[in-house]
Amino acid sequence: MPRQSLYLFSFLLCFFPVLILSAQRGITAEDLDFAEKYASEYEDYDIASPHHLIQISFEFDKDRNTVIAREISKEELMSLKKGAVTSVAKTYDSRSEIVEAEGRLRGGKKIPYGDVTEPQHQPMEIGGVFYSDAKICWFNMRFPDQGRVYEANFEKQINDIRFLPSKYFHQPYPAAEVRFEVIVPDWLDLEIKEMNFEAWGISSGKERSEKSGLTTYHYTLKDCAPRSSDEFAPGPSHIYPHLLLVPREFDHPDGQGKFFSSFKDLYAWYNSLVSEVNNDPAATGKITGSLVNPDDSDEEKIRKIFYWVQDNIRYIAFEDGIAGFKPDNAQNVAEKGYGDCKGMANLCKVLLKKEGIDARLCWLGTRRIAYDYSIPSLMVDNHMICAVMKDGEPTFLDPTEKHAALGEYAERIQNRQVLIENGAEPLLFRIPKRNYPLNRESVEQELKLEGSDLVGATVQTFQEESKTRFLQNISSFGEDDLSDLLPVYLSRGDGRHQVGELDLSNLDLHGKQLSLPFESRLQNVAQSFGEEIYLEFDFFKDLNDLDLEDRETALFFPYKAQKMLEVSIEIPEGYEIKYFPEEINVVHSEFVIKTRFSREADKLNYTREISLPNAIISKENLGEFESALRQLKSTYQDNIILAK
Amino acid sequence: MKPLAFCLRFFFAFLFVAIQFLPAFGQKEGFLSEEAVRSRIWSQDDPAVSQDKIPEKWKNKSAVFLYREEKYEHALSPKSRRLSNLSSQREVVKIQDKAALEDYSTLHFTEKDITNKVLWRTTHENFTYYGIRITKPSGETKILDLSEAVETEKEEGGKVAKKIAVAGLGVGDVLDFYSFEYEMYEERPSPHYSYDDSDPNGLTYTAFSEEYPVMKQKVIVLFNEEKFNLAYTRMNGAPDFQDQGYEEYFENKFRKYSMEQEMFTPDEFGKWTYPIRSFPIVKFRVYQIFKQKKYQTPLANYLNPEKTLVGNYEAKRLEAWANSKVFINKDRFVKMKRFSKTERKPEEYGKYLYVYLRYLYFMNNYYVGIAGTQTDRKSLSPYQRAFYWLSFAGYKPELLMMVPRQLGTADQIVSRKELMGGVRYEAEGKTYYLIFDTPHSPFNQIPGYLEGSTGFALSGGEKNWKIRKITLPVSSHQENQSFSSFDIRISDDFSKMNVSEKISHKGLNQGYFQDRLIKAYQYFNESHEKWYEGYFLPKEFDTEEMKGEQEDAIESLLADDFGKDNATLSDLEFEELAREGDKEVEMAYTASFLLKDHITRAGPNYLITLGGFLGSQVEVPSDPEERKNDIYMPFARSYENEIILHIPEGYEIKGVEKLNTAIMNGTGGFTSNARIEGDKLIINTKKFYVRNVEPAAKFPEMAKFLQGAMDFSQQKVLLTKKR
Repeated sequence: MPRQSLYLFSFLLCFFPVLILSAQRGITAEDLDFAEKYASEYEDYDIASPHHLIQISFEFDKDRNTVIAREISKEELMSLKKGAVTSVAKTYDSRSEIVEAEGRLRGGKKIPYGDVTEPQHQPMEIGGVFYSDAKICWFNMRFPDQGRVYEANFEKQINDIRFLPSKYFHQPYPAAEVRFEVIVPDWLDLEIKEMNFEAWGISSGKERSEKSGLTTYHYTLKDCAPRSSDEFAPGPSHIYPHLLLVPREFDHPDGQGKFFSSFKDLYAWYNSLVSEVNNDPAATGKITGSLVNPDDSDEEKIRKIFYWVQDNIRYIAFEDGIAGFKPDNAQNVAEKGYGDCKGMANLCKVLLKKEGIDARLCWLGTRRIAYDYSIPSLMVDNHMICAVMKDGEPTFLDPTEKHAALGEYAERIQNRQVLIENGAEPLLFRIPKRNYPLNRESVEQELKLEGSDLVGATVQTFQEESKTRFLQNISSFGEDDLSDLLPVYLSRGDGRHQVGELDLSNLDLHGKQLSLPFESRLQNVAQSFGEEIYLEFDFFKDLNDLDLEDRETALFFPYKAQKMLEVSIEIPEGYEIKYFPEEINVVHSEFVIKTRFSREADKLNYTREISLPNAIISKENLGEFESALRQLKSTYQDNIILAK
Repeated sequence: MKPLAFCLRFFFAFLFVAIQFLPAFGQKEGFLSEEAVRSRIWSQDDPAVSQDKIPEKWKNKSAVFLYREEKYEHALSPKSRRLSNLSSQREVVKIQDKAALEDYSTLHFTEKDITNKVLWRTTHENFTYYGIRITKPSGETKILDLSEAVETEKEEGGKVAKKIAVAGLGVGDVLDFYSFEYEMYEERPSPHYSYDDSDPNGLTYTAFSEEYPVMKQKVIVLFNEEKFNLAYTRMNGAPDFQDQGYEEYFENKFRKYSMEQEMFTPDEFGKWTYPIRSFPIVKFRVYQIFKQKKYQTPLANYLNPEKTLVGNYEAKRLEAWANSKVFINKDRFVKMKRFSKTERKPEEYGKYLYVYLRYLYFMNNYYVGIAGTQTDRKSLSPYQRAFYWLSFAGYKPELLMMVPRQLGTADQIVSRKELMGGVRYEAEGKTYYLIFDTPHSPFNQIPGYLEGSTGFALSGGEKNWKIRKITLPVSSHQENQSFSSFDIRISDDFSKMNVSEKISHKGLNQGYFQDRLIKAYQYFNESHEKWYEGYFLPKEFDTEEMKGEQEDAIESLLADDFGKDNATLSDLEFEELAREGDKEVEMAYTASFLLKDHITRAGPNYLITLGGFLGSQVEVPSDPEERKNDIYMPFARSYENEIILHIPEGYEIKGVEKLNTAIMNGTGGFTSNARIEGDKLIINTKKFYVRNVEPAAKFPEMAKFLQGAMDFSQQKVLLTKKR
């Protein structure tokens, strides 16, 4: 070989590994820029999606004379950090299947061995549900370098399009672009509802192909931040943009059929399932025994039956195919001693009807769901209760709400639209709203100084939802442990607060009000310095742990609270009040925070009110709420000074 | 091809294919059928135990166990010589309140149905049965249909995890459930140490303490004496096994032992409790006997005290373990040899060897953890290597097999699984220990769980082992010391405190902090460069990432001491990580952080809590004299603090006198000394624990200084404007 050629060859050889390496890596300068940009913007995330396309199309299933949907998801995932590992997953259930799941390099080539795992299928655990037919298909991908892009591809077939879930743009990680394409054939009447689209800048359009008879609707959201992980956040349907696909009917050359056009269609289907339930009131009666006396008033009968189901039927939820919509029969639920909301509501209804009371089943979506029955979709509801009709007015019974008294409704069902069973024509009602003072939780303390401790009597009183919450929280304590664990619970885990002589004799599980008197010793809360005593005064410090920094979503409290505290401390002889902390007086439509300090004869009094009249602090009011909270926390830190 | 050969080939091919499709013929019939097992387990009701006889004092308990039974049967098939284990557990519990009803409303179980065959011979079979029945107060009994259970997880190879909602269960009912497992396997050819995990039943602890009171509990062990024997030890007043003679069934003549206890309540589980040292517990195992003469060894005799019934087999396995050949990397060997020639100081040699083997051992463990596979199985035995190399260098090392303190003493061991390894050697009148506790632990340090422990020292070497019983020494609280110095300046708006801390830990106090602050894998890289042993590195050393992790760890430590989100770290500098194996080197770092919530307003004045700087304190129960269990602590230790608070100009401090405390006794102490020097408040505190164990009766003494420290931690000083 001539020498020059050799040099040239050697020269090229020098570059060869570089060429090979960069081809192998397949990471462009743009990729790296993207990774750097997202890594600095989203420090807590290892993965981002440059592009995610979800295509939903429909096919006619001749054998079953119905329509199936096909969802093809192609998601590019990029590592923002070297060595990132992520799991990608798709859920399905007995009405759907995963046809394909694979991870690929961008461009479709195989990911090197060891950097992607085989797809796994396993049952999915859903909080609060004993068994569900939901499954998850998942696999892991490991990204050796920053800026590496893989594709996670899934194909899911939904065999009954009445169960099409809502489609959300927001993912668990940031995405540069999320695009939905819904391809609707002419023979299918499908309404695409654009939910919460305002203020998100979603671009949309449609193209129609005369030749194929298909209309493609497309929606694109750019710069899509990851879903928030805020505590006490509203359900996703309240806050995130999404598509709700509502199929109404189809008219295919090979077959026709209807889905749901109005809530009446929805009700007709629910009712058809209910009519298949083989309730046997006689068998139920054998199990429940003589719950009511013949001379009981109707209200007494309702109360006894409602409480019996609450107390004797454990809530265990099954969401398994049609069993997710059809109640188990009453005698089964009574015999097994457990059931889901449908089984418990149905048992209530059967027992009440046997006593000649007009009881009905009701369907509703709880507060977590933003929809009402103006949308004829199975996505609208997630709960069943029972209603007793008198003079055309319903009283609602939710037996899953343990310890609720008759006429008390949990926040999650209040003001919700409810579909009431009524022959062929359902009734639509709204469950009444309850006012926040009904849920009052109050603490009254009469204390005096003993050395550096404060000692005296405390009475805690709970009403309605504060009462049910309290009783539900302590229900896991065994009777024998109650006297050990309840003091810890009542003192909010503050080791300095010793609770004694707790009187549990009036623990009425279904009363309107629950009062717990006990003796308190608050250790080391009074510090003496010469002729001055510095006193702590609030030993419950409600909302002190609530941190609103970086909060992105509205606050949904579990219920409309009214927390009242009244502390009265005996002023030791020879002492005067030298200093009271500044009072707070914040009254807002969504929150009230007030503190008062006063002297009455030889006592100093401290009162505090925290009220949340709507159980919601909307996003636009978070700033004002945070400011009031800061004042409150500052008061908690302060001390009262007594001086000789 | 000749016709005969063709036919034979065809025949064997057919046979091979036929064998593949043979149905898995199992044992689930006759004696082992589900019905037979159910009727055996549920027909053994003891008339002496019934819910009518629940004592009045237990009527308010959430639940009461009417009966609990564990049964283990170890059989030998006379024809096939295969071994089988049958085990069952049964619990009969009376539900007395809703909390118990909730506890028992769902039962979880794992169904197994596994058959392995080699040609036509079943080599391994394993299956399970379960039964649940409810008896109502009326006496009506209902057996649950287990087909209603739902799958929660399905594993490869015939294991299915399930759960069932217990239907029809109410308060006042009696729930009676059992599990049964059958496992058949081929006889082990020899007692080689690598069969460690395939004991008929590894090691069973039967605790006679449960969540609920128990009216009667029974453990029954049956075994074919030709092939098995029972080893056990009972502790803290647990009942003894009774010889029940022989029973013949299932083609076996079984030797039967059983033990039972009636009417007992759960023990209190207080702080610093080792349950095995304090509660009535029986440790037992059934092991295979190897009667050949070659297994009769001096070690076997030594380890066979009458009480514990530890057999020849176990002793032989210990010896086999000690003798096992280890893989020696030749390059490493040459380097080691060179080192030993050039560096003859016994301490230096031991330290060098220790740090190298520590890297090997934990590197391997790390791989097992992340990859699920073992890259070098033999390196799991670093003690043999240490023993070998120390012998090679001319020392006379001893191989240690110690019983960790939490498991009991050397007289109480039943299985080698209870022993932990170590090596020691003597030189120039000093004893040096090599014990691989953590990826950072130093040479010549005995971990806290082995301090004062008893065990065995083996010396001599292969085929010439000598054994003696030993007790390891215990360190003092002066050797295990932490020192913290805090320099505190109050912010201009009096809302926060700027704190600079300087922390150092020595001795056993280091371990906890090293584990929390140092990610071992970061340091495998440097060891890797030094001692490459064929591993690939899964993760490169990343200074930034390590710093981030260390900051997270420090923030987590600060949250432990000062409450969540109260301290914000601004600076961190590690001066010494103390990873080089030198016991005398102290781990040290400095940090700065901003602290809120520890200064509170009171009109024009401020209250400052300085107790947080001592770290979280032990809460003392109101009745320390009631403690029944001895106090087992990790090790003797001491903590010293210096807190310097800069008093803002124009302010003075009140309440200093309340910060002076001195409580000391034979178990330990807490002292604090506070004084004003110029514009500084200086507080020195010391808390120390003299021993690693104290008898229960000493708890009131301990409580005094613990309460003193707690009271100090709640004290406040007042910052007020000078008049």
